[in-house]
Formats: sequence, C-alpha cells, structure tokens
Amino acid sequence: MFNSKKTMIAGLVALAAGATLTGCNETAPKASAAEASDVSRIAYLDPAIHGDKFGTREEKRNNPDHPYSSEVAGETGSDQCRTPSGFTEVWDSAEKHMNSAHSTYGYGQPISESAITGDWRLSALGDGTNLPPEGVGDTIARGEELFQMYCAACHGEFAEGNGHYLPLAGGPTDMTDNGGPMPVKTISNYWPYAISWFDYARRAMPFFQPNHPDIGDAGYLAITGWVAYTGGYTTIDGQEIDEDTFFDSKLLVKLNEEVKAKNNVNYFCDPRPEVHNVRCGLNGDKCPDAVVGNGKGEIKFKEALINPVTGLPQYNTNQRP
Amino acid sequence: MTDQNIEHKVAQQTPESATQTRRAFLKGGVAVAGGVMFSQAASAGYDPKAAVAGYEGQKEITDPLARPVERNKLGYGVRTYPYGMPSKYEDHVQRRTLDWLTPDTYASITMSPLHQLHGIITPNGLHFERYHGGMPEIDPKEHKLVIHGLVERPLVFTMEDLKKFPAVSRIHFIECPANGAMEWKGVQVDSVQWTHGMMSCSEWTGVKLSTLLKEAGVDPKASWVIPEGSDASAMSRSIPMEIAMDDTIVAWAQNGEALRNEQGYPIRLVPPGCEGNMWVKHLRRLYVTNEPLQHREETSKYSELYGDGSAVRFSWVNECNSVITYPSPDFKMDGPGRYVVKGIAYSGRGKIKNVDITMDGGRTYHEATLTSHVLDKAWTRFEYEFDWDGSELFLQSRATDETGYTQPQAPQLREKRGTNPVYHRNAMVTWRVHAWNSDRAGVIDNVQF
Repeated sequence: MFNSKKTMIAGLVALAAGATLTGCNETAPKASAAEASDVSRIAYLDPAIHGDKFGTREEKRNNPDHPYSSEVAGETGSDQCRTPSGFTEVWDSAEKHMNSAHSTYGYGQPISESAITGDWRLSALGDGTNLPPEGVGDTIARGEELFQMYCAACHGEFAEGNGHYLPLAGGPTDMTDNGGPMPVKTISNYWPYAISWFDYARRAMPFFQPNHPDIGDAGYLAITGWVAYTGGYTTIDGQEIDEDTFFDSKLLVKLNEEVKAKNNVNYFCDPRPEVHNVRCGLNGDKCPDAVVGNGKGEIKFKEALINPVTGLPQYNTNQRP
Repeated sequence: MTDQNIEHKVAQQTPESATQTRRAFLKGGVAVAGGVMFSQAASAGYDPKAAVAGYEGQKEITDPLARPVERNKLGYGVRTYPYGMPSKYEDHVQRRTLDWLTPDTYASITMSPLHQLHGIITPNGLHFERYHGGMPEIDPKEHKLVIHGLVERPLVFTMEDLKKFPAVSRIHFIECPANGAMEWKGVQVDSVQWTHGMMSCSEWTGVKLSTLLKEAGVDPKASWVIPEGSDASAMSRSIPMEIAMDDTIVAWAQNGEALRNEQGYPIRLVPPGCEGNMWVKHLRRLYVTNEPLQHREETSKYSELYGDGSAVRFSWVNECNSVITYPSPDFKMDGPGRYVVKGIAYSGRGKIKNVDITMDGGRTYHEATLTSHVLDKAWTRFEYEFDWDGSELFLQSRATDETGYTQPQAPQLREKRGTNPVYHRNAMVTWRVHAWNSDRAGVIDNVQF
C-alpha cells in the first residue's frame, strides 16, 4: 500500500508546494529522511499554499485527494479512514519501515490461525467478519429474558438506563447543538454499526463477567436483537420483526445495513486540522478581534457561580459532560 | 533576565519607592517606568548591589537560626524501604478523580496533579489512570501476545520472547482525548488537575511494532492493525497501518521499570501522538486486517458529535495544546511583584516550536522560553517571567508546533464544532487573576471566553 500512496503523496506535495519546490517533479523530494520530513512540514504550514485555512470538513469529505483529507478514495462516507496524505512524514517513515529488509529473529512460536478461536477471536469486524455462523442465535423473546437477567440492573428494564448508566436505546432524533445538554447517544440515534452492539456486548458485558459462558454466542445475538427491537428497529430488510423472530448473524448483517443507512451516514473521517489560530500579537503587534476574548475582541467570559454563603466558586459539578 | 529586570527598576527608583515594601517597591518601579508592565530590561553588566536592591527595606531576621530537629538523631538505614517512596511530606500529591464523572471505579479515570509536577516526566505512581473494565493483575509468565490475520506466519510471543527483540526508548506524552471534556459547555472545574490532568508523559521502552509485524510477515497490502487488551473490557481499537508502521512501540517499561499495572502491565501499545484510548493496555493480540473493527470505542465513544449533528471518528491525533500550571487556580497570588509563569505544551504531530503568553485575553503576547528538552510528541516545559502590577489578568498560553499549527481560542473551536464533541478539546484555557485591590485579591479562577 505504501508504494502507491507514496507516489500519490509525492505528487500532492509537489503540487501543493508548487512554487517553493521549483524543479520538483513527482519523484522529487527524495533527499535525506530529515529533509523529506521538513519539506512536508513546510507544505503543511505555508499560508501561501493553504491560505488561512486547511480546507473545510465538507471539502475534505468530498475530495479524498485533498492533502489533509482522511477519507479513502472510493470509500467516502467514512467506512474507512486514514492518515491524511499531507502528513508525509508518517507515510515516509511507515514506508521505510515496511520496505527495509527483515531477517527472522525466530523468537516467536508459530501458531495456526485456526487455534485463535473463542475468547481470542472476539472481534466481529464492521463488515461481518468473525460473526458466528448463520443459524446460531435465539428468539428476541429469549433475548429479553437474558437482558432482564444480566443487563437490566444497570441498563434498566427497557434499556432506558439507570442513573449514571445512560440509556442504550431511544433518545432524541435531533442531534444538533441547541446549547442545552449534549443529546444522549444511543443505538437508536448514534451508533453507526449494529455489529458493534453484538461485538461489544460479547467482549465486555455483563460488566462483572464479560463473554459469559451461560449467555454464549446465541444468547448475545438474541440480546442484540431485543435491544434493536426495543430501540425502534422493528423492520429489518423490509420484514417486520417481533418477539418470535429468530435473531442470528444473517439478520444482524441485514440490521447492520439499516443502521448504517440511518446513522453511519452522519459520520465523517477526521477533518482536522480545520480550526487553528495564528501567532499574532507579538512584538507590538495586536491580534485581530476574532481571536481576542469572546471572539469579538471583548473580554466577556463565562465563570463558575460564586456561592453566596462561602464566597467560593460554585462549580457545576453535578452535570456530566 | 531576573537580575537585569531588577537593575532596570533600580534605575527608575524614586525617593518614595525606596521606602516601600519590596513588592510595592517593584510595582512603584514599574509604574515609574511609564506604565510599561512587562518591560524587558536593556542589557547591563552584573552589579551585586543592584541585584539585591529589591530586598531593601525588608525586615531582617536577627535571631540565631534554631538547630533543625532532624539533626538531633540518626536517620533511618538503607533498605528500610526496598522500593523507595516519596517523602511523607509529599503525600498530598496524588492522582484524584471527580466522583460525579463516572458511575463506578471500574470504568473510570483519575487525573495527574499537573500543578504539583515538575519537568517532563510523570512519576509512575502519579500517572493518570483510565480503566474500562477494572485493573487486571496479569502474571507475565502466563501472558501471551498473538499476531495473526493478514500475515504469512501467525506467531505467539511470551514476555521473554519480546524482551529479546531490539528495543527503543522514547519519551512521549499520552493524553486521554476527553481531557478538558467537561469544559465544552462552560467552566466546570477549578483546577488544572481537572482541566488537563488526563495526561502524563513518560519514557517508554519496547520493541517497535513494525519489527513484530514484519517478524510475522505482514502483508504489505494490509491496511489495519487491531490491538486487543486482556482486561475485562478486552479493549480494542483499529490502528491504520501507516501509524502502526511509523513510530508505534509495544512497550514493557515506563521510566526505567516494568509498566505499572495501571499502565498495562506487562505490555501496552504506544502509538505516539495518538489519543490515549489507542494505547491498548495488557496487549494480548494484534489482528492484521483490511477492515477496521468499527468497535464501540471508535464509533459510539471516542467520536466527536459536531454542532450540526454529524459525527467525526478515527480522530487519532491529539492536536497541539498547552496549559499554564502556575499561576493556576490551585494557587493564589501574594501581591504585586515578580512571577514566573510555568506550564506544559505538547503536540501529537511533532515538536513544540513556540509558546506565547497573553495576559490580556489574547490581544498581545510574549514569547515564553522553552525550559526542557524539546522532543517529538512529548511534554515541553515553558516559562515566562513578568512583574505583576496587581491589575486583573486574563492569562493564557498559546502553543505552536513544528507543523505550523497554532492552538486555537475556545470561541474558534466552538464556532466550527459546537459544544457537544466531548473529545479533542485543545482550546486555550483562561486563568483570571483577580486584581490585588479587589475583594478577591489575587485569587485565580478558571473562566472561559
């Protein structure tokens, strides 16, 4: 992967650096490692190249060729992300390590891929790799029984949460910032992959005995089905589901597509750097209002309330972030 | 610089100021200097008399010093403590937690006491903690690390095997991306331990991940490495191959000794510059794939909900950041006079280039001095000396890293991201120093623009 990326990056950097790298073609910046690293960093910071911004989130999402886009070409929509090609020092170093010769130390012991099973193969990837075979599962009604037995104490009888243990399902549909408390994030309104509900429940729950043998793969799938059903996913692939529905990996993969279409589409790969400052205000210079105080040049600020009795700051400590 | 500044003030001394107390004297001197508060003195030679002029008029101790009590008896012998501990007088220096932040102690966090730390290395016992399923105590003789997936030859290593490999030792900070999370909606906490203590900096020793991956014959076309821990949460993340093959380490030691339990004994992943959640502890498995896990810890958690309702994930790097640890809300100013601002700057993208200090909320800045080693993706210490005239201050530090990226003001971050991202808040913090002539004279508050 590094060779093809490298060619692309070299092109991008040469393109981006333009005037400053006069005479460089796409095989160009190949001096010493240190120099190569400097070249990339100059490209990064040079306002002549990127102006006062490193590109907006939308520009980067729609154009994986942007040097500071983390999106992967052909994958826009954030299923795969990467380090932006503009961070050439990362790519250069990785490529160097990948391509340098390696002769076996021989300190490890070979192990068969087939010996890596059970608790050593918990990872159910976003594309369905490592899910239990079709036909392993149980009814959603059984999932509810297991949930009440193993999960409800913390998560609530209806997955509505319990005190500090936040709701698993439901929550607001409007996730925009209205200035109030952060919208609670649930499988209904936020989690982008249904497969990860199963993956996480099996690997880490119940909290005090994860990957519980009495639940097993079939039980974890049934619980996943019930939580989905409770969380409003009552139709999967055009078929209504109910308590008698047998929930297995085949249904989970279909549910995964429903959830991706609903929530995963709201995800971006990392757009940073997209907010940055300028080194103003030095040696008699004065910073512009936009980066002074409240962003309008005024020293207006929020502070913690002062307790009228003690005269000490009364910090808002009962609100979870 | 200290001596020069004092000389400068002596040169401006007036008959009235000579009779004032030291601090008031310094203030008077500055005032006479034409209201220039943060004057940098012109270079002049060293004059011992001028150097001590600031003490003029202060009460002198004339009673003979008493014999210190510890001189009256023999101290304790060697190996009284086979594993040494800090002085008993340092027992107030502790990692602490906010009880309201998490529902239990098993999936919780503690913060390092940044206002009580020195230099760029965090002592192992004060390193912040973040657990997702309690802290296991693993027998290293039983521990295994498996590499499999898109490799020629799946391998399993014991701890003994791993330590035979070539090792590197690197100083890097680790920061939980939720550092500062409580502050998105406004001011909530009144100590730098709470605002920035979810981070520490250590020397990590281990084998480069690239060496291990190649030992197993990693497929050059593979794009992800999925590390997994042996704790109750089986913590896992997806690491892109370019970061895995760059400078990532599989570490067994921190600051010269085995990793502490809290830091992932017997081995953890160290992907420098990346968010702490990716530094998987108690590492037991490295799964090489062409597909990310899309794990709960990189989708529903450790993703940023932006103001428009969209979300950002795979935000691996901790961007350039800094904080003033002194003066900060744990301290109180003790009158006008000389102060040395001290703090920590760091960037997940490389070395710190500059740190600038503002006292007026961002209109004008003064470049600070970098006072420690300046290392890649490591804490860097900075200091700036100034003479406080007793007026109200809005103290902030602004770091720039070698990529040219400069740390933003809070309103800049809010404008683009809203107040719900939780993670990756690297805005400049503001310490409000109350004026010496106000009813909260010298108190330092956390405020937010």
